[in-house]
Amino acid sequence: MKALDDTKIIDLFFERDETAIRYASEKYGNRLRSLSHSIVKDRQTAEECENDTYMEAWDTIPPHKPRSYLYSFLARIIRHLSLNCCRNRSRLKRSAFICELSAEMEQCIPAPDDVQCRIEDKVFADAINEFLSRLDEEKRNIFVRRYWYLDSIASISERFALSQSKIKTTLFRCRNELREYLEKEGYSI
Amino acid sequence: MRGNDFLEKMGLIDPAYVEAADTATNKKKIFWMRWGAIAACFAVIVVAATMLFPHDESELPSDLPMLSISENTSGGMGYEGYMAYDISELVNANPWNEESEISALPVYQNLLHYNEYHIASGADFDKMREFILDVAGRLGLDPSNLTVTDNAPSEEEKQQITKKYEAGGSVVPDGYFDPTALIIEADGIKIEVDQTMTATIHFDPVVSLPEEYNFTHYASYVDTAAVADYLKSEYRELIGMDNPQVNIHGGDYNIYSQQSFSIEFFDAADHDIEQIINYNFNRVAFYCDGNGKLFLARVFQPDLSKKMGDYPIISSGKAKELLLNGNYLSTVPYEFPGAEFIKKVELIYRTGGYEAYYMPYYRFYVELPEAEHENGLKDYGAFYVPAVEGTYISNMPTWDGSFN
Repeated sequence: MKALDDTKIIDLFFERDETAIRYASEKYGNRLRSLSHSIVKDRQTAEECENDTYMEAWDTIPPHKPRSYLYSFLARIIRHLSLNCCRNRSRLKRSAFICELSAEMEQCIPAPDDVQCRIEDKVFADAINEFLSRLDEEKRNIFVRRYWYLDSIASISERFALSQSKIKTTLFRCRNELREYLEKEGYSI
Repeated sequence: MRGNDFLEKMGLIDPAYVEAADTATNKKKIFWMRWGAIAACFAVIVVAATMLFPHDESELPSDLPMLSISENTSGGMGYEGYMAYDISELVNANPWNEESEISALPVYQNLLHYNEYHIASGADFDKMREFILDVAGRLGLDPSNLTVTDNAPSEEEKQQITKKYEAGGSVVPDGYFDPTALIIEADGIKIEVDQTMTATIHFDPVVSLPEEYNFTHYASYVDTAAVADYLKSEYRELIGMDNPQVNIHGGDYNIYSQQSFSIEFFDAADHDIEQIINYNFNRVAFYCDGNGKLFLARVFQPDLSKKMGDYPIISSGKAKELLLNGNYLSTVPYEFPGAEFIKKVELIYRTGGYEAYYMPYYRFYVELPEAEHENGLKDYGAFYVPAVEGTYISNMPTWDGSFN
């Protein structure tokens, strides 16, 4: 099966043609499974997450129309599903790693509290995107690898050919800068 | 909001950033392409080496660059031998053991190159600056209030040196006046970071440990272990590791039959290989002076950014065969006495500044019957055999019958 343009795949979703899922799977399945596997560290669970991702995409396209960012759209779904799996399935033994990342993220919050996500998604996304736009490319990529892709320090170090201590230092500074940015801009999250 | 919500909501960031981080220029790939070209130049040598060291070709990665062994890098007087009454007295916390099932290990290029005048080039002063500020911060100093200087000679010193050279009928070599270290001095602490990315911390005044601790050159293993525990707790920030492991190493004797141990820390890691790398490279060491006070600490953080690749390694048994065949490096001034005198083997990286590549070796401790003392102290000489598959080594060492 030849890989289709994202636009055509989205058209198939809109036409409620189930081959849309086959084409999406053919084109992005490996990357999505790999992303999920890097979070859940379990092949079978990653495959389940991949299937659930297509189902959710089927349910949400339309109304969403991610013609120019289909992979990112699917990746965001599978990231969310994989994170949930880690939280809900203790057998995955990944909860410690997720806790570690959560603890790091908590350092970015000016005044962490137990109120469930009171900030609007749109406002949150705008704030983070604005912050990310101010980082230089290297720092931004490191930050995104760590907190979007949930990569280990060793893996980021390997990817960018930088020492682990450099990665840790960069992340530490980024977290501080993000907290200061959120404080200064008056975000209440 | 708590951290887990924040982590979850990171999923909302601009897809362009997500995509960019996935396809970001991978420095390593560029590096590989460059080395790929060099590797091609070594093709003839590969063929020769393959004939010398037969192997199962089907299992070997084909895109790894060739490596060269650096000989005579010790640069010191005497030879590497350890005196002890029994091999079991020589201790360390090396995470490698003969049961380790490791089939490949990373090899790194040493970015420093030395010319005939032993002047180094290739140091990254930005990294050194970042490192020295990091160490200062770990010592509780405020990096924003510190002045970083270097050790370049003053104009007056330059003139004196120039005159000396001229008096000898020569000129000052290029680069002789360039700085080789960065320095911070503050609050009774002097930090010096050299080009090998070693931070040396001088405590002035020296630091006294509580009375119950015996931090002296010839303290027993038990006493040294107690001091290490104290230092681990007292200097947690300076050590700066998530899970510091104590490495009490030594146990050898001097000619006066005094046994000594040293204290280092390295970060334990989830992964065997990462732990081996930390043990060999990323270390923090503490030193006592003659009065049992803490006067010096060192933080080792060599630049490992140029990774050559993960190279297949041979077993210690295969390494022993090579040792018996004469394929070793050693500064021991005696003929290899025979297989029955091999008393211990461990896997280490040779990390000396003059190594072209930081690569793993098997270090064999070989009892030297010719060097045994009358009081029963034996001498265990160090013999190194490259742990990387011979196919990847362009100049496998061969003992030629001479001594260094």
